[in-house]
Amino acid sequence: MAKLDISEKVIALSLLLIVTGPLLMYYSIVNDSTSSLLAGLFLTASGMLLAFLSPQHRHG
Amino acid sequence: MLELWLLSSAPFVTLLFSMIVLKWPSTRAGAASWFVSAIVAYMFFGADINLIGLASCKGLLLGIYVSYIIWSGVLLYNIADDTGAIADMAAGFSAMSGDQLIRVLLIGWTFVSFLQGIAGFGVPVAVVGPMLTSLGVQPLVAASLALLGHAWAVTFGSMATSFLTLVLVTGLDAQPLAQWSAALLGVSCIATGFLVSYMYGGFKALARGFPVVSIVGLAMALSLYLLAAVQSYVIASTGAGLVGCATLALISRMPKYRTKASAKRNGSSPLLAFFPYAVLILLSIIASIGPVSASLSSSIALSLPFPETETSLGWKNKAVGSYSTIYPLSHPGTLVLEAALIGYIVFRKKGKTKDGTMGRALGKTVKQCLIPTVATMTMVMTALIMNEAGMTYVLAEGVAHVAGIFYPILSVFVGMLGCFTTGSNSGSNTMFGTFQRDTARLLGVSEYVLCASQTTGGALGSMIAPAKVVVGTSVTKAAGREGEVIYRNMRYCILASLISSIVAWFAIASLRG
Repeated sequence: MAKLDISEKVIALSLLLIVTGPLLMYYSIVNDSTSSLLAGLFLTASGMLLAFLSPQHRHG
Repeated sequence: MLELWLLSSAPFVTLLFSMIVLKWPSTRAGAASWFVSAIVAYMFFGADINLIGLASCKGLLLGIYVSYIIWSGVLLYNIADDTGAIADMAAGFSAMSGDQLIRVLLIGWTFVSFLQGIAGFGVPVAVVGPMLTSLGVQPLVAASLALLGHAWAVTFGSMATSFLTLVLVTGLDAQPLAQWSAALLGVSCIATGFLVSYMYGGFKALARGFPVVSIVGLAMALSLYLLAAVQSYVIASTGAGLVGCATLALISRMPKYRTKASAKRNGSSPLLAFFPYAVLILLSIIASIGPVSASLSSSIALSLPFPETETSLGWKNKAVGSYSTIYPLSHPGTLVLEAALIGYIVFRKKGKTKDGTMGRALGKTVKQCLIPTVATMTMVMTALIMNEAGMTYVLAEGVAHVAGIFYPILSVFVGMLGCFTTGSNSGSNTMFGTFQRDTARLLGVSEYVLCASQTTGGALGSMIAPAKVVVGTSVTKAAGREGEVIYRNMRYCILASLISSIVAWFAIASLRG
């Protein structure tokens, strides 16, 4: 299997945060937990920031 | 009111400006528009963090739905590519006609529409994009062509899910709505045929393809209308696409289009090469059969319930028992994955695979799919924040208010806007279906024509919807160039929508007169 380069690793991390963040927010909203709501928001925003800042190469 | 309208358009403007003008990659543009939508929703539309969180989570679920198809489609392509099947398939299509324009029309207009009828959800673009590149079409043009060619078939495609959604949300009678929708989509079908010719080869191809497109387009449009009129909504696009393929195949046998020698075969086997895609078509048909579909859907279902949310401005989102339910056994992504695995097994038995084919295909798939997946997630989350905060509604309402009696001309564009934000015709119909019906009643015009315009715009919007564009670019090795595809397709989308708008306008005028 081909190894991921640094920009792909950053995007993969961004994806992980974008997936876990909203799920954590959902969990906290249905369970009334403010601390995990903010943690979820922080994770989502961090994932978005990584997606925004990640160096990217174009294919094709 | 004007301030709110301008603010509600901010995420759109950010997305379009950054992708088209600044040429940012879709992940960066999507992330920027998510930040803009969250800030605007929080500061000016009275959305709290709960609403933004739940909207993002809904977006995530929709994003997962689409991404599963992208990953499976790209894996299928990579397996086919590694075994040489894509090259063999191109040889097969080349053998059908010596005329490259006929091949492009056959694959990028009629066949892609047939696939939209049976599969949909991005699968046709995922399948046809690589076929077009294998014929020598540039990756960006291939992605654009596949998106353009299939758009007219979207409403009655995927087993008519978008049309049935419109019927459900508006409560209108299905048959007259189907007839008006088929009439407008039939016009769009012929228009997209001409536009596919033009996109492929400019005015020269447009002129040369004129008789073929006229005949095939008319055959498909009539088939669509007849099937809609006899209430065969579920197979309307499939049937029309099949008629188109058959008519074009017959025309390709005419001496005028058989002039050049067919491509070299080099011992390739196009039928074997097409095998995984034939399996996909077969699986899609089986999965759509009533009892099979019901049993696949009743076995496992993944979804989340969502509570009601409300902004401080009074915009309410009803509680949903199960949002964006994914049925893993009948999900299009699963069908594509099954086709890929069956195809791999058959290729292996026939000695077409090399050492490490599956490993290479998986590795390439991960590399190719990361960017489209993040892009899809960011853009769908943005769209959902806009919807749940009432921003999209404000945007559409402003357009309707300003347009007044001329609104019917703009109604197609409202449908297009809905598809652009949600990435689907069904999403657009859900978002704007009742709005279009109510506007028609307020203006005293036919609600059937206006709702038909809505779904026509929603269908045509598929060619520029970022969530669909990323499918096209990811399978044609043009990932990260979504802005260029959207920019290229925007002109064609506006032109096709304008033609439908004019027809809708005349229909409304004649009904009034």
